[in-house]
Amino acid sequence: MKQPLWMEKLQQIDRKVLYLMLILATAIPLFIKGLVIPVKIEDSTGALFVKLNSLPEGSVVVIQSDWTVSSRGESAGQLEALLRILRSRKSKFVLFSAADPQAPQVARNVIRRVNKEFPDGGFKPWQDYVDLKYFPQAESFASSMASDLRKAWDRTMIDPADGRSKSVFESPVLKGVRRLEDLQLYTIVTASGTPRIVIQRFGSPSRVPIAALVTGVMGPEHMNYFAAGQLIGMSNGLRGVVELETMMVEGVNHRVDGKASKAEYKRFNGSIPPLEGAQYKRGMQYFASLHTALIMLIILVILGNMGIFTKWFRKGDA
Amino acid sequence: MSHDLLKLIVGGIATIALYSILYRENKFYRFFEHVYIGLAVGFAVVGLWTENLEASWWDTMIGKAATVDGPATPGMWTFGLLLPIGVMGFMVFSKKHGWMARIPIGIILGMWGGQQFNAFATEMLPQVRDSVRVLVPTRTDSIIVPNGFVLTDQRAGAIAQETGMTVEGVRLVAQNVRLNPEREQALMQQTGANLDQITQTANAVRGLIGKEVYLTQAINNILYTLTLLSILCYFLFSFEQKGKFLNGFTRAGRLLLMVGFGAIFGSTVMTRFALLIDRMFFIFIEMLRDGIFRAGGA
Repeated sequence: MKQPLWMEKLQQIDRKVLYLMLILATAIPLFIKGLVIPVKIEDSTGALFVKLNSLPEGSVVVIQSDWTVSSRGESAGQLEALLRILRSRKSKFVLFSAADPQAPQVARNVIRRVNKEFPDGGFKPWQDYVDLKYFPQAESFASSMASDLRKAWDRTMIDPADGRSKSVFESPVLKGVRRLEDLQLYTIVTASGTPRIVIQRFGSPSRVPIAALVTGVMGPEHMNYFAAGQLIGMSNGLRGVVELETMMVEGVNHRVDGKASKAEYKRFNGSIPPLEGAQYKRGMQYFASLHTALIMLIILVILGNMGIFTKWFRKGDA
Repeated sequence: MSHDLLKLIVGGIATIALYSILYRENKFYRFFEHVYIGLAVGFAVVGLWTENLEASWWDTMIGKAATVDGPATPGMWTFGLLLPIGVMGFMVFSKKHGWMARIPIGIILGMWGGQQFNAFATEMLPQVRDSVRVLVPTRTDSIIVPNGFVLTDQRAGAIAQETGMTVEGVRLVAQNVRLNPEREQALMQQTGANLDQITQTANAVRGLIGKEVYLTQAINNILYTLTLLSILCYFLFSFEQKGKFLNGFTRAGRLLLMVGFGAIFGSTVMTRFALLIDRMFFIFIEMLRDGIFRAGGA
C-alpha cells in the first residue's frame, strides 16, 4: 500500500486545529496598533460620503437602525462612522427602528459610546436627536411616513430643559419638519432588507434621498438599487466601514504636498479635506484580521484541492 | 468588581460557551444556549412594550389627565378593539378556535397585498429603465471617459453666458475638468475668473461628458445587456428551449449566474469573518485587555 503524500495528509487535519488557526489568525492582528491597510474607494461608498459631507449645518437626517448585536462586527462600525460624520457636519438626526424591538437600545449604546469621543458630550437628546423607538410592520410604517410624516412619528419625548414630556415635533430637531421633503437624507443601517421596503414606498423618484449601510451579506442585492439611482449611496459591510474611515482620515481627492490622495473617488471632481480629529477606528482595527483570515482560507482551500487532485492522480497510477 | 467589568466577564463566558460547540457537544454550551434563547425572547417581549406598544397603543388608548405639564388628552378607547384582534392570532395554537387566527393574518395580508402593486412598480421600473443601455459609442475621439472635452463654439458660448466667464476661459477649463487646488489657482490666474465660476463651468462640462457614451462604456453596456438577456433566457420555462444558439445562450446565462453567486458568496464570507473578528475583539480586547487586566493593573 502506498504511503499518503504530505498533501494528502493535509486533508486529515483535525477541524479543531483549523478552528484554532482561525481564532489565532483573527485575534493576533487585533493587538497590532496603528496598522493601516490602503483601500480603493468604491463608487457607492464614495457617493455616500460626498452626500454626507454636502449636508448643510443643522440639516435633519433620519437614521433607521435595523440591526442588533448579532451583526455588531459590521453594523456597529457603520453606525459609528455615520454618527462621526454627522457630528462633523453639525447635523441633527431622528433615530428609530422598523425591524427589531431590540434595535433602538443597541443603537443608543453606540450613540453613548461615540458621544464619549467629543469634549462637549456629543449628541444631546432633544437638542441634537430625537429617539422615536421602534415601529413594527415596516411596510405599513413606511407607507405612513410617505402619506403623513407627522402622524407616523407622533411620539413624545422628555425635554431635558424642563423635564416635561412633549411632542417630538416641538424639539429643535423636528421643529420645521412636516413631510419627507423636509428631511435632507434618509439613512438605513441594516442587517436585513429594509431599504427595499423604504424604496418601494417612498415613490419614484424618492421624495427624500435614501442611503443604505448594509452588511456584506445584503450588499450585493442592494447594489442594483444604487446602480439604478434608487439609493444615493451605499456602504457595504466591513469594507464599507474601512472606506468611510479612510475618507474621514485622508479626505477625498485631497492632495498633501502635491502627492496623490490616499482616498481617490474618481466620480467626484472636487476634493474634501480630512475631518477634524478623525482617526481610524473599529473598521481598520478589524480589517487586518479580515485579511489574515481570508488569506488563511484561500491557502487552505488551495491545499485541500491539491490534496484531492494528488489522491486522484495516484489512484489513476494504481 | 465594577458592574461594567462584571457585564464584560459574563458576556465573555457566554461567548466562549457558545463557541465551545466547535470542540464538541457539551453541557456548558447547552446551558448558555438556553440562557441566550430565554434572554432574547424576554428582551423582545419587554422591548416590544417599552419601545412601541406603550407609546403607540396604551398611552393613546388611556389618554392623559391634565397636569402642570399640559392639558388633558382624551383617551382613544376604540384602540382597545385592537387587543382582541391581536389575541386572535394566538388562537393558531387551538384546534377548535384556530380559524380565528385567520382574521388578523387576513388583515395583514390584505394590507400588504394592497400595497404591492405600487411597491413593485416603484421598486422595479427604475431598474428596468436602467437596464436599457446605449450599446454604440456616441463619441469616438476617446476610448475611455475623458477628463476634458473639446467644445463647439455654440456650447462654449452657452456655458460662458451662463457662468459669466469668457469663451476662452471656458475652453481652458474644459480641457481638464478634474480640479484640484493647484489647477484651480492656475485657472483663476489664466482666466481671471473666480473659483465659483470655474467650478460651475467644470460642472457644466462634466454634464456634457456624462451625456456621451465612450467605447469602454459601450463595451460594459454590451456585457451587461448580454448577461441580462442570457439570464432571462435561462428562466424561460414556458417552452422547450431548442437549437444550438438558444441552448448555448442559456448555458452562458447559467454560468454568469454562478459568477454572480460566487461574488455574493465572497461578500457573505467577509460578513461571517467580521462577526467572528468582532467576538474575538470582545474577548481579547474589550474583556481581557481593557477589562480584566486594566482593572487588575489599577
